[in-house]
Amino acid sequence: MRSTTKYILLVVFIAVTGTWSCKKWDEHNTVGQQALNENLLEQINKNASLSKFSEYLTKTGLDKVLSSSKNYTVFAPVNEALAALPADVVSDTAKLKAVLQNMIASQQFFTRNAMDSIRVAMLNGKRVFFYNKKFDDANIKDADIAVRNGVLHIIDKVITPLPNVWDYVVTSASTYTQNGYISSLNFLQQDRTKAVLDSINPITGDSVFKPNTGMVVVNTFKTKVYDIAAEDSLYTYIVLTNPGFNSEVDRQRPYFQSSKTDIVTNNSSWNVVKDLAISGLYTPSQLPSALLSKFGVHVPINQAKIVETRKVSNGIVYVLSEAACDMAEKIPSFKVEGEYPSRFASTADKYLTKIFYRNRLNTLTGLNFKDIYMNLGSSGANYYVDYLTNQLYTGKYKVYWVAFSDKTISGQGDDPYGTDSTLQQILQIGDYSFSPVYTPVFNKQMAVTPRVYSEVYLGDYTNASYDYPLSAPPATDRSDTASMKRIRLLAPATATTGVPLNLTLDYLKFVPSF
Amino acid sequence: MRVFKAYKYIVPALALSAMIASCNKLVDVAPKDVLEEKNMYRNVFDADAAVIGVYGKFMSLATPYIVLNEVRADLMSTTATADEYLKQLNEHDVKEGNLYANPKPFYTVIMNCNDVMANFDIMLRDKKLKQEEYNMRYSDIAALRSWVYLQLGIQFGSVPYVTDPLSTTTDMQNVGLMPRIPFNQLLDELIKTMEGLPYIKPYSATSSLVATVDGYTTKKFFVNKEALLGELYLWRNDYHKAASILKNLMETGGTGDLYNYRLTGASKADNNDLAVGYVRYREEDEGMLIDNNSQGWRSMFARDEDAMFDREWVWFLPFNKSFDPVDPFVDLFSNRGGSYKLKPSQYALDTWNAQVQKNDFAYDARGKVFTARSIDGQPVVMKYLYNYLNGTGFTPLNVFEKNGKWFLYRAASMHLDFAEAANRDNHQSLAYAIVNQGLTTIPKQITGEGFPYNFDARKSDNPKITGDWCLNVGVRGRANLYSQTVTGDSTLSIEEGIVSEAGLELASEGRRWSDLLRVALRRNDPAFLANKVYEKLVRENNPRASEVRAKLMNKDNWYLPFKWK
Repeated sequence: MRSTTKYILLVVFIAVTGTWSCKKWDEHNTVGQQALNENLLEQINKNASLSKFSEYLTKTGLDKVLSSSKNYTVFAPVNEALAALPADVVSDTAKLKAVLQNMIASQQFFTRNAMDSIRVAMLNGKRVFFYNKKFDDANIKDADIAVRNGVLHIIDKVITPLPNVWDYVVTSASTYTQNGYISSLNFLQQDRTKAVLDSINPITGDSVFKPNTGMVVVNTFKTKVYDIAAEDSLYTYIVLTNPGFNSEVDRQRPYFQSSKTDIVTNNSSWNVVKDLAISGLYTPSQLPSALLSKFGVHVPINQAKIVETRKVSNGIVYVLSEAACDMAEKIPSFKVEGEYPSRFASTADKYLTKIFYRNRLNTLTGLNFKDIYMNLGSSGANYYVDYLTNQLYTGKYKVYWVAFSDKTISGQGDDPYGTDSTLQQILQIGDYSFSPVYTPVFNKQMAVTPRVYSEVYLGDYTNASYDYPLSAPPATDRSDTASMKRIRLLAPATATTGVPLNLTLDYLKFVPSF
Repeated sequence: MRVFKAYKYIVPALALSAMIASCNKLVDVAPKDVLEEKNMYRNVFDADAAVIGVYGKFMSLATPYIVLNEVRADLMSTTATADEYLKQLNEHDVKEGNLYANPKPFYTVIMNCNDVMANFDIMLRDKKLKQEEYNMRYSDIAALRSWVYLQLGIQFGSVPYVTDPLSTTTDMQNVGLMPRIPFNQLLDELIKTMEGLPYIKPYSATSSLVATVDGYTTKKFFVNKEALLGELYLWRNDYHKAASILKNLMETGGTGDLYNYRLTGASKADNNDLAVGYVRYREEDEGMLIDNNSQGWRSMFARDEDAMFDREWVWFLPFNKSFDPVDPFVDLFSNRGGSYKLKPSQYALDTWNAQVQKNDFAYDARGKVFTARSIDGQPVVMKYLYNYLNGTGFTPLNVFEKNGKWFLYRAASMHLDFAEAANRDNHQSLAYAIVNQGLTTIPKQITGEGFPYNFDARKSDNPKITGDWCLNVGVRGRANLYSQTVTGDSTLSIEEGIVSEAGLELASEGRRWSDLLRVALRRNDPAFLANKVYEKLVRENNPRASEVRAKLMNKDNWYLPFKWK
């Protein structure tokens, strides 16, 4: 008797709480339509307005995918929308499959996941925007139909797969010189994951691969600028019409002179195109007056000069008749920091123990700086330090240095460091040259007055030739020394009595003149 | 059902008989794994165990001590991963339930002290302790209690002052309800206690408490009574007395000892020193800074407890992987193997980088290299981590083996305290010398004054004179820094310099808030404290900076709410 009462009470209690909590549940998480005993295919087959879609699924074999036990999201276009598909697509099973895959995602996405716009990864590897009740351009007529293996949205338009920026570049290579140039930047490289291992270097422990195995074609625009074939990223790509591109290339030519004419065109073209792929999606309504490239160049965008706008799967392409960038940004001034030397005249201990990497406060800028100070005294005659750079293009550069010289009393009671005298330093610039003979074309001796923090103008340096293609992949041999310059900070052979042959350098600055 | 009813009576009956049986002589044997209270204090070794026990309990205060004194002040700040309680302290907005702002752990230690002291009295009465043994141990525990009370006063202002032993745990709950005495009255009580102690020096070397245990010598584990009394005098602005007691401490080694607590300079030939130094003849090279665990300034926090360690350290307690408690600092500070909750503030970094070293480098290596090193691009409080991270790459030696120390008092703190007293006691130039380039820079290298301002830093071969202070280089001298400049009122300016130097030298050692609070109270100048905290918050773009400044301009907000939990 007692136990019966207990059971009744228990049943009543569960029933009450159960119904009450059900209500609560409804309030905060509603699923509009539920058919959890059906899979996606069954649900599609049941819907008369999706009969065409169902038919095509069967035709392409995707029906088996949608009746499997994995989760999918299907954006199914209604019959009227599918009727608009061109006949050549419908008749070609491969093409048709690609179109259908562009509307199927291998994960569940409800409209509540798309409160903020998301890019849904589709079965064909593309990504398509999904935002509220919009699937790309299509409107979602019937949303969030939850079934056993996923979710179904019914849309009013077919969303066909778009090419990506890279596809666009390749297909329009013959139309636009710029795209022709980019698609020509193919180099054979060894892919270490595919190459055949030959041996292990016993000294360094590095792997040695058999030559000519695992060779793959690499486009250096994709490796050096952005991988514009990546579907997961978004790019804004600018194509210049042929006259616009040619005039922009011509503007670069003076700075890429070379004894080899093909290198002149190659480097000038490279210097134009490297700034024309920009990270991020800038739709026409969001276009600023200039886009900032990966290399710090502002590409001016004049709305009036936009010839064509083309949507691609990983961004947007603008065809512009003109985009003349500031040459000061294209050929930037650059610095060689004193504290990063490439080579010393001698690495004997008696020299190296007198080379100091210092820290000082520049009272003009209020910033700390690091420099190199060679406290060589009388033994410094003809001692030098070399800096190597590949960044000096052709044309005239104004050369400056900040060389800070001072004298500091030793905190440990030893001899002071540095000098109060005015030092003499020589700066030379010449080709890298493998041979020990170094023939600088720039040679300037200048006094270094103590405690001067400002930039000192040394003179003009003109580089006549730049012989290495900038678009080439990182050199594995020493081919890149073709354009390399050796900058040498040199102590004079003699000095006035009492003046040490010390060297000091914060940085060198090269400012191109236009 | 009937069987059940029978059990109803059987069980109590059995229990009753068991209870009766337990009264029987036969089972009334003292349990072997429990120490009864009446057996706790039988001889001097039990007394030693009690002392060690109190210090064991005391170590649980390491976290609140460092957190309250640093996070509330200007040189340490919270990271993005800090918990809500730390953020409250950082923004001086402590809410109910803040784990760090809880006086209870402090009183737990105090109650332990009271209990042990009462039992020491009984032991002395019962002749279980010799007078000398009693004096040392009783004074030690009384001093430790006073130290904890001083901390309570600094953090909470008015607190209950309890010196009687409490017998039950319910009494402990009542402490929160006891009448509180104001901070100044508390200081007077503490000074009275300290002055009345029968013994003021550290344990004698022959005491059974000075031993080597688990690889540590215990001699520096115990609170230094002279240092504490000196600080108490400073809090009560009793400068002459403070200087006198600290002078005794500074001359611990006696005449002829040139090293212990003398703050000596770089040993340029071999770099075996505690100074900021460089490889000889290469001082102008940044890469030649002595930066390892066994040489130079950094080694203070990293080296073994050798003779050089003893020259600097007055009081420290070890954390070791082999015994509890676990080192709390790894979790607080390390971004490798820890939670990285606290970091050096931007204001602290800026202050270090505004110094100029004697090789004209525009920073103080104690800051960006030794105390606030950048690891993985994040500034890290390093002093507590040198025994946890490896010495060069700064990755944990073993993530789970947390070895470290709680640093409490050292020679530099002592010299800065003495300088603070001397400066206010009309010995400004002496104070300036101690903080800057040392006693060898005073005129004629000897003061020619009476105690406590008698310093002899002379050194000559003919006539042969070796003053006890001839190797002293001053706090900034040891750090390879140029001297401070004095502007305006020399007393105020030098005091400013002392507080600033204490920040550079002792940052993250748990002294900052008390230094700021003491000087602000002395000057009756809330802005002195408020502006520094404001600077910290402003430089980290904390939107509440002005609000906090306004709050700290009111002295009542300098103390934490006394909330008993």
